[in-house]
Amino acid sequence: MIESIQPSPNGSQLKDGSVLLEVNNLKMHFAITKGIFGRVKGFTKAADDVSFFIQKGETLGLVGESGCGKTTVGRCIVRAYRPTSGEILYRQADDSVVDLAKLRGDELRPFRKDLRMIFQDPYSSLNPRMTVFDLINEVLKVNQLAKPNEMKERVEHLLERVGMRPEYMQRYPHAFSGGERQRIGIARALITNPRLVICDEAVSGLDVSIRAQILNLLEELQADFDLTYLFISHDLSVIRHICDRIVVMYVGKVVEIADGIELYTNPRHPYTEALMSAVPVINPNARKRGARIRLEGDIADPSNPPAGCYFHPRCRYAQERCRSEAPGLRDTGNNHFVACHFAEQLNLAGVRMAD
Amino acid sequence: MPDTLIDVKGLKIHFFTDEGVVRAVDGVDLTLKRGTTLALVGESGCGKSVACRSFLQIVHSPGKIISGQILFNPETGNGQTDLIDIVKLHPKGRQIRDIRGKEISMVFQEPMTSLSPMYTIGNQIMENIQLHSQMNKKEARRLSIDMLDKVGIPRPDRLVDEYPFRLSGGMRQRAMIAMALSCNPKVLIADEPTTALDVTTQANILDLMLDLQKQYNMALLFITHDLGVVAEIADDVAVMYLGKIVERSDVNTIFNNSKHPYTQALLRSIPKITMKREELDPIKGMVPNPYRRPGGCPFHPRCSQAIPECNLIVPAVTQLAENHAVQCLLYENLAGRKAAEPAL
Repeated sequence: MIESIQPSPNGSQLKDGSVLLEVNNLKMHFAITKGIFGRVKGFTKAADDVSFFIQKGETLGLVGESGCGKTTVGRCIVRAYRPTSGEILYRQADDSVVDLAKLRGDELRPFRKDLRMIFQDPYSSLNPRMTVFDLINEVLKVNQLAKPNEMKERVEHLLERVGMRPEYMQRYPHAFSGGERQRIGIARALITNPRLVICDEAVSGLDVSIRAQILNLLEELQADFDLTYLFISHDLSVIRHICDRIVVMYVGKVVEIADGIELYTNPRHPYTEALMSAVPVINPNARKRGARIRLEGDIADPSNPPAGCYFHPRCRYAQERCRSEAPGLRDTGNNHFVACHFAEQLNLAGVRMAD
Repeated sequence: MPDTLIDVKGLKIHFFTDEGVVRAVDGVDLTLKRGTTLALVGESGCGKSVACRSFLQIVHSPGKIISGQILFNPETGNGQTDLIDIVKLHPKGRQIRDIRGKEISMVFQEPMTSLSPMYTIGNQIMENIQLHSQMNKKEARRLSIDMLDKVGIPRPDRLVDEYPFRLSGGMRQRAMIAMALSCNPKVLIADEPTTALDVTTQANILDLMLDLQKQYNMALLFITHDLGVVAEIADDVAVMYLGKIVERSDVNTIFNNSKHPYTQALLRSIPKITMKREELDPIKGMVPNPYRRPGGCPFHPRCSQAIPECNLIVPAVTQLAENHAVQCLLYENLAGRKAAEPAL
């Protein structure tokens, strides 16, 4: 396999004070072990040379199909995983920059309150033996963020803010519905006044009517608390709705980065084009049947990816060069970064926006 | 030959639990026409899956079909049809077992849990074939491979001997569809068949199901909560809320001229890929606890157009057009009917 060190598409961005977090050439390889001695047989390259940046106050979307490594990237940023290599540069409140990827153990503690996570499954992410108050207060205690006499007030205040009745805070999670539990999860993430919140499929498990409520809530909270979101999802309609810029991943690699509307109307990577074409349009008069791009075969195995561009076996524009040479992420102008050899030549179809 | 393949009338399915009775399906009328696709839409817990499971008499305990009819109208050859009321059949009887998997087949949401991990894909498809036909093992195996080929599984002669865990989610769902279609059913019930799949896989599976529908002239009953999928594949749509069909019509009417406040609110609350960013308009509140159903129209506590009578009177079915029925008080007056007596 060709290992190409790619120039980070955003090399100097961190000099710009508006960038909150920059990920450079992040790699997270999980060892595949065999036998009782755990002999390493190979590596699953869940994230392979991922680079992007997040600006203060924006919502960056991270999309891709299951197994593309989007969750892994999110977990590396909150340092639930220790990345194999790469940099995660984080700008602190006092403007100094720290590389989270290099820190270990207790050194990470001060950052745990700055970077928080909202999980997908509101059923398994809350401890059923703790009351709502304990669940949220635990965060305050661990991070020593409030004096004991202030805790109750802070939890009450935040619960109210996320649309829950504070009277219910002595109840256990089972007494709440999926949407309410997700609100508890949000409160748990926000109680530390974080600067970056990673929403990992935060609305995917919810019903349509509840999903809209939670999406609106997330947007309100972003404005009120001055939050920056990394929004991980596989749902392109939700991403379209909430994100300012979007990163598309395929088998551990970033294939395209662009502003929201630009990516949807003018995709430059064949994989993005196929994704857009697969999304059902909510208009029975505009059915895409037949006109839709069919991706043949399955998503590549991240422990044994194909040579060259990982997408080439399923790409309908693939040429000889794609089979041997892996494309790097490069700037094609207009804040649009693409990892495709033929990004400029291809004329790809995007989503046609309704007037 | 009548157009109607399955006609459901006044179907009620209740669950008798320790905490009380849950009226999961509470008087449902549905019509499935030959060779068409009916989408049953609703949020989780609205009873859409239970309703469809009753078509095969596989409603699990403590659920019971209380009343109603499920009239199944299969062909018996040379243009003749038979009329069977599925509700009257014994769940373990000979007759329903002949229908299950042969006349009416089902594809489930979770392709991992609905295939047995202990048997190969081929074994499981062959079981269904041999159960419903006189084929010997060799012929059944050949048909299984044919079916796997039809649903677009590569190298079907090899995959037929694989266990389900070796297949990806999309491939497993294809195998499930191959199994469901192996006896050439007249009706395929698909219970959220693409919800667990990625969008690109979903697109392929939907195309596949529609192709096969045309090929076999099957009726497709598609259960989903995803309005995008509905817009993409349905001919007719029934919207369900707390055990009732609140609105049913053809797909164009539902998306462009829906009348029930719930349908309208659902359509407003979904983010659309083709729209500019704007604030979503969610439905306030949440689906009520099934043990504490609101009186009157079950949707009235969340309805933005509720009138004072809504918490007292259960709306009756109002026929707005030949193919457009709605259960809402707002239209009962409109249709020139005096408001129904306070219902039971």
